[in-house]
Amino acid sequence: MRPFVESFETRDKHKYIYDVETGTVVPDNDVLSLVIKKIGEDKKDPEISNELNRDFPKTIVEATLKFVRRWQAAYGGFLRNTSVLGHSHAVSEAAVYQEYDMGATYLMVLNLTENCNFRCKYCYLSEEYRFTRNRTESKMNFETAKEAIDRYFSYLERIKKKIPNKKAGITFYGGEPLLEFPLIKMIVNYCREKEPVPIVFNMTSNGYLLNDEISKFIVQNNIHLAISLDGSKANHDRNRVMPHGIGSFETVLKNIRKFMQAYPDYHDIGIISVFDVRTDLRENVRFFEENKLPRIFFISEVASSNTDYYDRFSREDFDKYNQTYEELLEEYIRAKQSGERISNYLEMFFEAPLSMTIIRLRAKDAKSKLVPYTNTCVPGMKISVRADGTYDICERINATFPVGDVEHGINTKAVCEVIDEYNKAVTKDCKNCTAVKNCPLCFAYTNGDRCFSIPDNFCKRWRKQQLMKLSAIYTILEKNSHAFDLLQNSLENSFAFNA
Amino acid sequence: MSHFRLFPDVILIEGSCKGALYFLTEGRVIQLGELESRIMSQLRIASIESACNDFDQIAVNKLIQSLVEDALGTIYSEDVYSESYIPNMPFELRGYLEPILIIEELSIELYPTDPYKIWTTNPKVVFQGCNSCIPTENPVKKDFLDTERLCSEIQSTAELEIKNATLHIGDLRNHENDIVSVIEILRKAHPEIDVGITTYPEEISDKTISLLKKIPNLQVTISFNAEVVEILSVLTQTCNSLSNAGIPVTLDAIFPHQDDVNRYSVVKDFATNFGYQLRTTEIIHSSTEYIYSIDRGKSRIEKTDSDAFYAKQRYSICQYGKLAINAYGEIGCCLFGKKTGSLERGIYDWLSNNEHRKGWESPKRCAGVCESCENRFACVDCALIEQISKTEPDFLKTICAYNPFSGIWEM
Repeated sequence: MRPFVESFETRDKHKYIYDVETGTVVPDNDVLSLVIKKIGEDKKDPEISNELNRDFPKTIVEATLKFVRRWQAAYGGFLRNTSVLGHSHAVSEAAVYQEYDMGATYLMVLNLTENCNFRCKYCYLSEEYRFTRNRTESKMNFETAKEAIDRYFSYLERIKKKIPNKKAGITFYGGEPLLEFPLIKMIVNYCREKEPVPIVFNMTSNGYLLNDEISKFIVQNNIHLAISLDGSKANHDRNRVMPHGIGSFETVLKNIRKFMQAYPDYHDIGIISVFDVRTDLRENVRFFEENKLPRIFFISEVASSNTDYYDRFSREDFDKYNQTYEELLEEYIRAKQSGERISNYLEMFFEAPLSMTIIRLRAKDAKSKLVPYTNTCVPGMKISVRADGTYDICERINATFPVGDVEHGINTKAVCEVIDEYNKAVTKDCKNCTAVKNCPLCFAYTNGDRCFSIPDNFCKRWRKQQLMKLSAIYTILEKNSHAFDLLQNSLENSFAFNA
Repeated sequence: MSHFRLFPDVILIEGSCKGALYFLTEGRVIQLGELESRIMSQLRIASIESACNDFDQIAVNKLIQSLVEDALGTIYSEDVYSESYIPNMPFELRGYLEPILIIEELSIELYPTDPYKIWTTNPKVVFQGCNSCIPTENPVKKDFLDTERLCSEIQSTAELEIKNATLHIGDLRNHENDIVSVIEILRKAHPEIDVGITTYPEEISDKTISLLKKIPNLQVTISFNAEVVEILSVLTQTCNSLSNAGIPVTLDAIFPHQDDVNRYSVVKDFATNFGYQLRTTEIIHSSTEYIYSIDRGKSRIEKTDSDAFYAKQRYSICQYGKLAINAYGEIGCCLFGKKTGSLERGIYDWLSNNEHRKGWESPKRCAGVCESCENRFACVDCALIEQISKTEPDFLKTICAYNPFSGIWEM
């Protein structure tokens, strides 16, 4: 048996132990960590008591010993057998099919076009990233979309008999999907006629083409719209530019405002905001506070895999960014501790990364046996359809892992190969990792040229970040035990997918 | 300053007057006295020194000492945050990530009759009526459900996972072929399903037994009037005949509460002697009648491990996973509870409109005075009593003598 825990301290230097197996955080009065350590050294209880009774009250030592022993026996917590091996068996097509048969598929992403009216400098579908497709003139025709939808609906028709409350989604993606607005109209109309279960439509757009007609159609059909806006004019226009390098901020902001003015009660519109180390975070906090805009759905960092994007930044850029980050984090922690109102940008900036640690898996949360580690979905939960009808497992994965097409449906053999490759390359050491309950790696995060790999030093860095997140979370909880109640509620509601 | 914290597998639940410690790993519920409860509440938010100022110092130290000695908690020199063990992430997947639906128990009422004249006594609650074949309402009211319609609806559920089904049959003798058809359709649609029937002893004849014998793996529950003195001799004969035919038997004793004689122990001894499992159904007419078959005292508090504790926070343990269709084609979670659907609209319509969740997700913490009771995650009752207690709190006294506002068992 060896300890399977991590230790961290809050800002007030209070010590805690994170028990990996149960996902429980337990305060440490030094006795707890010493008891765990000594049991891990194979010492017997009388020996441990004798050693600790010199420095701590006997009753406290005895209580802690009893607690650790029962916790280990009942929940497998604190200590684990050292002979635990990683996941290595190959998955079968039958197992993949069984997963789909349990209703796993919930989203179809239609990549309507590979073209875009923007030339964002961090676009992962550009020369900036290795292995991904670049912009092309290729676009989906209605027949391809219809074939994909028919297949999807036929599956949902079958699944709703097992899951009467099944809901599903269709996402319009690109390139810029609004370049193909007539196609969107045809698809929505077709789906509304045929939908076997309530379908939620989503669209991710740069917002440049959002006009009165499109806005009206979006509202009439309750399409959940995510518009990319990186914040203030300076922050946005630095990266989100048109083909001739002209910034897109003014038009996008004007379109969003016009939409909000016309449909003030429409709440299924939100902002996606991307940042890098040169983003002026404080300016963005101010910008979103001063401008009445839709809520921010999420804020993400420019991806760092398979790209040299970050090479353009200087040491000073990183230092300045890190300093601002730390200052804002302190502001966020103080505000959460006291229950003060927090700006939407600040809250999303910190809460989204923290949320994965806050809602970490617990002892009895079972992941799919196909991909038991990391945060990845099971291929096929989401079907991303390219413009030519080829299936991918995600819109964010590169083009080297096709898993079927509209003509033949999902190729379970190809799915098995993808999973096997992933499990071999990425998850072989996960079982013994203390971040096993909240690892963010997935197919898209680790994909290379027909293979997967963990970015250099990722695991070590992530484990360190996890401890920093735990420290921030429990620093907040020490002063405000209800600080994250709303987050948990909103996460539960977000899964409800109200159509 | 020093602070006392419970270990994560020990949870303090506060009631109106007192509290209880739920020791999840051992499944034990530890009742606290009124002073202990107040001290524990204080220790949640303040230091031990502060509690000693607010309460008798000796009492505070004695309580902490005993909790530490029992390894229920420990002492820290700082004001640390402590959280409870939770077996799963604190939310359910719904909507597009919803898992497949499992019906644990499908109850179907068929051809109800009222040989014990239950409905002529104007009952207020049929407690644990689901164990019996008592009519869910006065059976002379309406036309019964068409069996063909029922069979067609059962066939349509073939893709649903249904684990058990019980047919609650009044008039078995005149509808034997229909009953066999329903069972055959159930088994065809759900090959793994366990099927049982519940009927009156008067319905069991040699002819019935020879028919039931032909149905493999059928569990028969005999639902009898326990207040009829000579019933046990009739029952002996019926049970023997069924047992001789190789048909497993369970007993359901109906107590119509038509006199003041409590015959529960007699019936219980009978069941024990013959090795039959005994269930009960009791007809309650007023809040002054007590349930014969359950203890109203402290033994009501059940062993509560972490699974039970968290399940009881979210679900009605009585109704969870249940779907019931009465003889008129109305659908609900419980045969005797509120019906919110109909076979006319279909089972899928009822399920896809989330009607089942209304019953499944009515935990005891939402039931009348139970929400103020520290034992609310440690006991379980027929949901009908919980429902009626929302409007008529006195009815809870029929099953439970605890007054959470005084903290006293008022036996």
